[in-house]
Amino acid sequence: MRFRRTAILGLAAVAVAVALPAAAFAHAALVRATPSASGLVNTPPRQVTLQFTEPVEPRFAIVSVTDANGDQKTAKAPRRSPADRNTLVVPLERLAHGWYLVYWRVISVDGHPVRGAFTFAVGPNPGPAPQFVIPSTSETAATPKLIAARWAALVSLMAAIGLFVLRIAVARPLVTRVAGSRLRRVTLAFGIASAVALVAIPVYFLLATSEFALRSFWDFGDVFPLVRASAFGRGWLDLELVFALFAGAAAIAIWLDRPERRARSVAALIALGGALAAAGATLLVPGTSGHPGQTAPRGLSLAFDWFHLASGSIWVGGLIGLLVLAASQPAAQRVAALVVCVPRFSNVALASVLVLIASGIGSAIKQLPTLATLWETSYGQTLLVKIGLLAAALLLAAVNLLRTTPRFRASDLRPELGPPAASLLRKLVGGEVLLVVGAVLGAAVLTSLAPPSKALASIGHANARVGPGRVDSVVQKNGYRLAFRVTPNRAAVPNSFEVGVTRNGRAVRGADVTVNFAMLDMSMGEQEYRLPERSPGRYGRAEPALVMVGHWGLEFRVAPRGGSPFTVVLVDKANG
Amino acid sequence: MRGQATAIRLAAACLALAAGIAAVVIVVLLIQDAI
Repeated sequence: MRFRRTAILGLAAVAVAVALPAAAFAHAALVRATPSASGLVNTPPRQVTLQFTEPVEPRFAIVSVTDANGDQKTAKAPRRSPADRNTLVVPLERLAHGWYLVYWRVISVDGHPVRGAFTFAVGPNPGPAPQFVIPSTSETAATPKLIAARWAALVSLMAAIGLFVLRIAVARPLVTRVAGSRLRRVTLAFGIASAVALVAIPVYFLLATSEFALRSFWDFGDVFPLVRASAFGRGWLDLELVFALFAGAAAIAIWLDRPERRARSVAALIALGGALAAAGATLLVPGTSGHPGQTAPRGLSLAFDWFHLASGSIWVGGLIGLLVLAASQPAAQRVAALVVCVPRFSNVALASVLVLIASGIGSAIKQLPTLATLWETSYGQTLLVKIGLLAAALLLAAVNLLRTTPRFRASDLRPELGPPAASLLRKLVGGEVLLVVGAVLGAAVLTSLAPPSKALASIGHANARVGPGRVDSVVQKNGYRLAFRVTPNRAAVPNSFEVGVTRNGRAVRGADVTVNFAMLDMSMGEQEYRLPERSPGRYGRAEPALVMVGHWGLEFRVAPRGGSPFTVVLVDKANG
Repeated sequence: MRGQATAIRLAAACLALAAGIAAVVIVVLLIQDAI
């Protein structure tokens, strides 16, 4: 029996390792630009228009148009097109013949900055393409300051809801069953967590808004009106409001609750209904103004996110409450109090963890485009760290479930089991709280990270990872041997891209070889070149295709004469 | 005196219920805004 339970918990831990909470590809993406990316226009354009997949706020947008010397050519700040909410228009000075770099950074509706760049030429004789320097601006929501504020807001909100559930439902019978026991400290912990959340939520959205609008946090007069200008700001403002309503309703519900009476009064039940409705509403807000609210089908995404957050709140708040409960009881009642509360909480925690895993897996199946995203992007790597922390917390929870809880149950007949079990419980629950709070930090980082490029999803599985520095790499595919060479494999200089194709040791001649370049770290126009046959079986050309430092997806499409075409994908890291 | 206490408790409960309903309405409006 014990083995079976261990096996179930082991499986659950493995399942956590694939539980993935949030969508990665629900951000503003550039769908059309005029002039078009890499395009040549014969009449100098009066403006650049950028059409995105969703409405973007011009007051948070940065758009620069620079010539080969790096001189700014925009005439005015970006504004929204009157005809289309998704389109930004940037008026230009009169442009001379030559090449221009457009660099943009916008804030998605979920508050994530997204950036991109492309070039265009004014002709008819623009001359050779220069090597542009991509402007560097802060375009991440993952700064330590923002992550700390987001984490504080999330952890305090989750703890407050979890502590309320523990106080009002799980620990309530304690007062009737153990004489002299008290729940006042748990109520106090709920009050503290609520107060912290009520401060941390506005601090976070004001910090984020000031950072995205490139203004000082202390410049409240300027920053506050901007909060409602973005969907992200509106969402978090609503979160503050809804959470305040929850805190008020929960305080009334606790005040009306008389735990010394077994049955609840009508007034207590009405207040409890209000508080639970407000708690449920509160837990829906982060998803609505984050990734899940932008991921179709929206209903399912929001449901997964709600269950994920609700179960996480019950787990983390309950654990903190259990620690407070153990520390606050008079020594004589401590073991007796834990005997009542721990088995009840174990059942709730087990159900919460199962829901947490199921909702994470649900999101993962629906939202992650490729498994490789897990280890190839900082988004995925953060997710792995979060899963690791949760898995470690789950191991401690398993020890509690399989060792501590049965000892508490048995301590009725064998009282000597109680004190050591209480001591073990405090250590394990303390560790569990640290790990789960760490996992929430992981979630704060995760939901702050710029998304992996859509190109990652479109290029599929990488056959090899190469670079930085000169590339000499061999890949076997469909019976062909492909020897890739990229020299010097540095950004913003002409690089030689060459592939030698052989089959059974003999050069494959007359194949049609094209290569597609996709920037993986940000959204840019893709480029495609045909590689002419330089010598028998060797196809290549020199191009300044790697226009910036970072990860590039090089998709080689090879169509041998008389054979079936196939694709090889290299993920290349190019340094400056 | 006892009737007054009961009335206060019921009023407080209704306030909590109203807060819950308001929270739900705000979230429904937020979702509609997002769509």
